[in-house]
Amino acid sequence: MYFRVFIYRLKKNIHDRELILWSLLFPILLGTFFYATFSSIYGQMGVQTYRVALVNGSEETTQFVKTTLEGIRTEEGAPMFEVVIPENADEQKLLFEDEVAGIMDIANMGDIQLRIAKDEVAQNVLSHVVGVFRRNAVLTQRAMQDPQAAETITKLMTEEPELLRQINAAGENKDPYVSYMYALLAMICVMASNGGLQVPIDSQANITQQGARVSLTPVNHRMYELVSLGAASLIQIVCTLVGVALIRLVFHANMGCSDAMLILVSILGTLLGCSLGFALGHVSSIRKNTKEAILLLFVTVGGFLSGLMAHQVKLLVEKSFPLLNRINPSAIIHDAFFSLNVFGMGERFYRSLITMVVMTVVLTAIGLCMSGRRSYASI
Amino acid sequence: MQVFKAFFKVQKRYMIPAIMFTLMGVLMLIMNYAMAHRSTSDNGFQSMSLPIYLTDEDQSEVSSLLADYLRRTHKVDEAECSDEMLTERLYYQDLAAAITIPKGFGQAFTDKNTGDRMEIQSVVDEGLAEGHMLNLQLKSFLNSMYAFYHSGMSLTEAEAQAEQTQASDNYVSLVREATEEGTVNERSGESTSRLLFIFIPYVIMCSVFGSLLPAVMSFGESEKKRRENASGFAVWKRSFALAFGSLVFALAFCLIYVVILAFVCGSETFSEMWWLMALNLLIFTFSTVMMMAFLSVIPLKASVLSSIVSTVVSLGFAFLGGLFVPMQYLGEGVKMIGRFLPTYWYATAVEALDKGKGFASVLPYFGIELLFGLACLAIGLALSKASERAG
Repeated sequence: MYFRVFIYRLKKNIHDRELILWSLLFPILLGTFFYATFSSIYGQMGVQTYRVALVNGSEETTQFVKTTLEGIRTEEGAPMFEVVIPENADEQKLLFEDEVAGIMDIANMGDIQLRIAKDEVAQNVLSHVVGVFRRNAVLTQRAMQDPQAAETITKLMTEEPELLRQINAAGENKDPYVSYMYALLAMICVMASNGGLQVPIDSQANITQQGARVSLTPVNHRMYELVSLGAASLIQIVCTLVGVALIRLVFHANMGCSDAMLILVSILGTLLGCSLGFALGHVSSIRKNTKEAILLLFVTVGGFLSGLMAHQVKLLVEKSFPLLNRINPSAIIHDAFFSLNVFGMGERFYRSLITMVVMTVVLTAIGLCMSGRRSYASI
Repeated sequence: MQVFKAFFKVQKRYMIPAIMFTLMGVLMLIMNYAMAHRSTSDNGFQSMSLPIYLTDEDQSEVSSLLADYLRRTHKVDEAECSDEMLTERLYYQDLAAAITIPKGFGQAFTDKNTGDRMEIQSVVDEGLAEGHMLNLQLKSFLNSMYAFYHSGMSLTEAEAQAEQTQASDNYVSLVREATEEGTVNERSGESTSRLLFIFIPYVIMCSVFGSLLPAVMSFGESEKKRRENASGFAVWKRSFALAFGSLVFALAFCLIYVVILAFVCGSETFSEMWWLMALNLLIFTFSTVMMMAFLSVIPLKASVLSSIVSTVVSLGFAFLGGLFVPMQYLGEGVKMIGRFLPTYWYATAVEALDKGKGFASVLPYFGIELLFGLACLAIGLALSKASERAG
């Protein structure tokens, strides 16, 4: 009998075109926006080859500085600088037209000057390199003044000691903008609450005709609602998985974890969303419109706090009010994806997973406790 | 006046989303204000000051000198922080690097004959230029200090000499470009006004589409429309009253944020740039209300439409228009799409004002925002007329 209820509820949910449309449209549209906006940002923030102009140097000096600059390589082995030697007098124009990051005036090697038009990473890198030239000039002058120290100084200039070790930060995919995709998936999961909300609404005799008819049937009301919740969850899980498929198969976003884990977290997140709507739907003292507004609050404000609009917000909440990240469903789901990417399947991931399961069970239990057959003076 | 009053009564039903979105806006303002830690400089070039985390396990003279140098040049955080939190902060680019000076570093640094020289550990995201830049600076400083020390200077002298050779104000000059509006050059950093004004249109869109749109759409319900048609009330008067009512509410939302911004923008409040940014926001609000006129004729259930529009359209417009992501990071394709959205022109105007441009420069952007609104209004009216004829 309950299987039949499940099938009918499934059919009913499939016919709810607005809910289905909304659940599918949301990941498609927002996923596309996110992909279009964020897919190339991280790549642009990396080390690039910076163009630099050399002016006022003798042929020998220019050649020396050019060779030195072109010899500086990035970690990947790409040249860090491309040297330009302007032929006409209007070298400033190169600066203002963004043709070069800076102009090095090498007329006096002991006092190299740098002209820039912007104050960004490229200019800072260049200023530090000029600093090294200037340091070497000071050391050369010192060696000339003190012939006894000349040998030591020459050695120090040619064989620089390794005093700093660069270590790469943790994380499978270090692109922080992928966290917008986590926030999007978390939002889709929490939006499944609309499906869960519909279950008690369709079962309460004082709200819908269907609820009145259900009340007359010789079915255990709690079991009926539980089965209905299962049907609603199944539909919502399918919608969420469409979103996951879109992100992985169409946008090819590197989520920093295996697809199996991505699907597992998405399913658990959707169940959490459905149970949230289910529990709220049973609060009979609140009107339907208000319940929808409260869920919108969970979706929008919860999404904001989990970094949907600005990815650093979640960190800010973690630093100032971590408890909020432990109870906000969007943040919990987001954190499961994040911890998989950055820390792998460790303590933090299991904490998020267990929190999701516990919240789902508790919210469903709250809903079930508030359901059950009620008697009405008038319907 | 009757419709105008009725609109306010209907609007009462949608006060929860209105309050909710307003609270969200205020929360976003507070958070953005907290994140607005970058300083603004209109003067010469200043070496980029990055947020770094420093652990000095050595506590030697060398490590103290190095730590002092880092404190002078960067924003150093030395408060206790777990490894997990450090990793998270590096991931979210809240820190550019986590630097550890290991125990025994000072001893190894000063000892000329140490075979395995000790290294400072600098954890950075190698995919970012900022981390490389920081390590380049640190490496250059350490090697300079090492060279000066081992060429006969004392540690303090070597540190001072190393800092002196690295002091960019001795050899870097920021060149200013002369434009038609006078000498203008790009500011370094972002003004507080820019950081706070830039995302407000998102909240305005959410508030207007989430709370005003369903109220306006409720006047289009067939039963209400039949009653209105039976009355002697002119259609244009009804439309005007609805538009006026919507505008009053939208301006109230706008005013709330402008008042808050007046308090939080500090010394920038009431400057020419601040007033022009406020005017930009006002124009955008007008444009949003006109957009709503177009959306209200879409034949969907009010609650569904307002949910879709207030989340998907608002977020989409915000991301594609460059409200949440600086323009410089948006790809050409995104910018191309963004040019058809008012948010793009709003963000362009804010960025231009932030760079010191005047009213004449941003006037075309204001015009495009208004034009977008007017185009939506015209389409909305045409569709509304067509559906009335058909119905």
